[in-house]
Amino acid sequence: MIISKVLVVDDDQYVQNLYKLILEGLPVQSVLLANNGKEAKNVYVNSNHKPDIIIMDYRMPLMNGIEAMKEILQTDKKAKIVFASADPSVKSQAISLGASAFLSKPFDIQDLLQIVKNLIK
Amino acid sequence: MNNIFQISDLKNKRILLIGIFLCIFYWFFDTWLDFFIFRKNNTFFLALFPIEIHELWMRLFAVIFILIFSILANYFYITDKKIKLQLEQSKQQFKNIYDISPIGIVIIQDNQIKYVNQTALNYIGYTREEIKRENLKDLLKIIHPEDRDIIDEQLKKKKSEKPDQELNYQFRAIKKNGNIIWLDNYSKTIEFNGKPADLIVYIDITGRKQAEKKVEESEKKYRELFNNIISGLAIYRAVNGGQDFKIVDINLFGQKIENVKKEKVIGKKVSEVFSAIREFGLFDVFQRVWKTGKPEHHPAHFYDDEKVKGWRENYVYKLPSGEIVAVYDDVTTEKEHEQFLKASYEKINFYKDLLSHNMGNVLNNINASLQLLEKWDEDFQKSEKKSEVMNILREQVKLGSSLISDVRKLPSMEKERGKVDSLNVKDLIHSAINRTSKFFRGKNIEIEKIFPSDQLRVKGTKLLTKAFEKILMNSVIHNNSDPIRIWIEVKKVRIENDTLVRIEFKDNGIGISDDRKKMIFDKDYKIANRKGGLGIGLSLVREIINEYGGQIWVEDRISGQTSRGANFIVLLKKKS
Repeated sequence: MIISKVLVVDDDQYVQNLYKLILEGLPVQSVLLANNGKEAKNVYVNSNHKPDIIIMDYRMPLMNGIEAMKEILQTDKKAKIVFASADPSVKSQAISLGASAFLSKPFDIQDLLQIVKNLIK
Repeated sequence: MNNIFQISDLKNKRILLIGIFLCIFYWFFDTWLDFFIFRKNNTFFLALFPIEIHELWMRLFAVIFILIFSILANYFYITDKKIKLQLEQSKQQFKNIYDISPIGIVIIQDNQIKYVNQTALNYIGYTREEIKRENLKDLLKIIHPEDRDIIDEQLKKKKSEKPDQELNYQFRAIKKNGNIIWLDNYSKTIEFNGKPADLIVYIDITGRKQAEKKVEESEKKYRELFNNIISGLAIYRAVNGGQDFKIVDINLFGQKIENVKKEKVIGKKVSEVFSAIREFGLFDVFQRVWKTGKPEHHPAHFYDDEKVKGWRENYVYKLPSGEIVAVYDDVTTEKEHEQFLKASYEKINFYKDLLSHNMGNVLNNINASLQLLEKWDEDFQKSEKKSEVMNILREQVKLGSSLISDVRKLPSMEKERGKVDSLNVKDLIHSAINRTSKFFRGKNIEIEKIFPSDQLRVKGTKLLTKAFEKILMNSVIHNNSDPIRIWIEVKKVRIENDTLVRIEFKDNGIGISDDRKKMIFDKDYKIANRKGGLGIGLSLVREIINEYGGQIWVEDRISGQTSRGANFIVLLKKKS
């Protein structure tokens, strides 16, 4: 099983770096980065080979994770989005809008890896 | 009319018959004189109907005279009777009218009641016979004891001053059944049967008095309510077709709220007494309510003129009389509390977001870093990666501590706001540089400063140091260059008529994309932008700069090259 692409959407560069390091534990060919929801949407829409998984933060400038997820799912209903937030109140909204999984921060990296593996299967 | 005919049929015929009888009697008496005494004629027949023409004419004239006299006597007799009858009828009619009149009428002459109509009797509940039996003095018992002095006084007045003057007074009478009625009394001296008499006319005003009493009680009740209600209440009357409104009344609480004296504002135009009423928005409400009659609520607005200021909430409605009523409350305390609560609530939310989100992310990053380090514990190949994660850990600890430090400082920073002073810009910047350098000890940071020759001073507080410190920290954090370079340039500029101090903070950091340039100063952005860890950073910087009449914005260090560093520009008012 090889994951060709993961899109990490977070405005925190440290978080982006950490995701990259965590995902090294999986056979990921490339990790794309976006600093906010708007960027994520553009990256997703404009890529010829769509990312297999999107790890989406909630609070971001310009466009938050929920809005970005809605727009991405409008263009591709099959997009797999892992929603990550420290705010548990957005969990039900994220799931009802089509998030494939919800990761509550602070999370265990094993949980993240397991979720990604499950989604690839 | 029937009576008149009857009289004329019986009595006047009698007079005529007497006349005819007298004629016949005279004729025979003359005949008797001529025949038996003077023996003028030979036969009785000739004596009865004399042939001497003068004799016959004399008798005929006498008879005609008697007849004419009797006819005239009859006529005058009838006329006199008729007049008397008509008078009697008229008198009766008036009596009837007086009796059914709603006005009581009494005529007193020589201390005796000469006439009293039925209405007057009905008022007091006595019969005519009972009244006639009573002595006039005894009749005074019908006057209420408390009002007898009024009657005495009025009677004395009449006797001593002008006997024929009209008197008018009101008193209470006690009816035969003990009930009390109010009478309005008019008295005048008239001629009755050729002598002066008192004509007294009464009107029962009990109903009116009761209504007046009710109105008085009601007015008293509403006046009490008006004056004791713990809301301001003012009544206005439109003048000049609703172009302005005059103050008709204002209650005690209203006077207290507006710091005015009733006697000084009654009759004055509202626009004169409350000069800011148009700006306040209430004047338009008055005009609308006056025109439409529909009540309006004027929610709490801030009123401010040279005499009074505060938050006022008004309810305006129109009275049936056309006057406008404003019921108002001074809600300044409530508003201040509301604003305080709102600010407190915002602060709580702000701290909640700051701690739950920003601190949550810091902890999440620390947690993830530690897990990675544990995972790579035995893996020597990951030594370079471990170093990277260790750096992340160190940064996160710093960011966390910076966040805690900011939160701790916020209350004292708020206190600082009041102490505005003239500050040396150079000192402020040096202080900010020192603090930033200490915070980022170990980082390779080079700062170049360009100051003008003269010492520039600005209006502000020590919070400005904090603001500059935040800008410098922002330049360091969002910077991947080595060395991190910051250029600070201070100069005096003139914009329109103001002399300002322009301070530029340029860096060789990652820069700020155009779509973020405005947002970074937004309050919401501070929460979302976690990279800096300065969750309360740039929005607070703008707030501080604005507080002292300054401005802040961000440009590219090199115009058009967003990724080659930012240039934060601050304008502050120069203090001489």
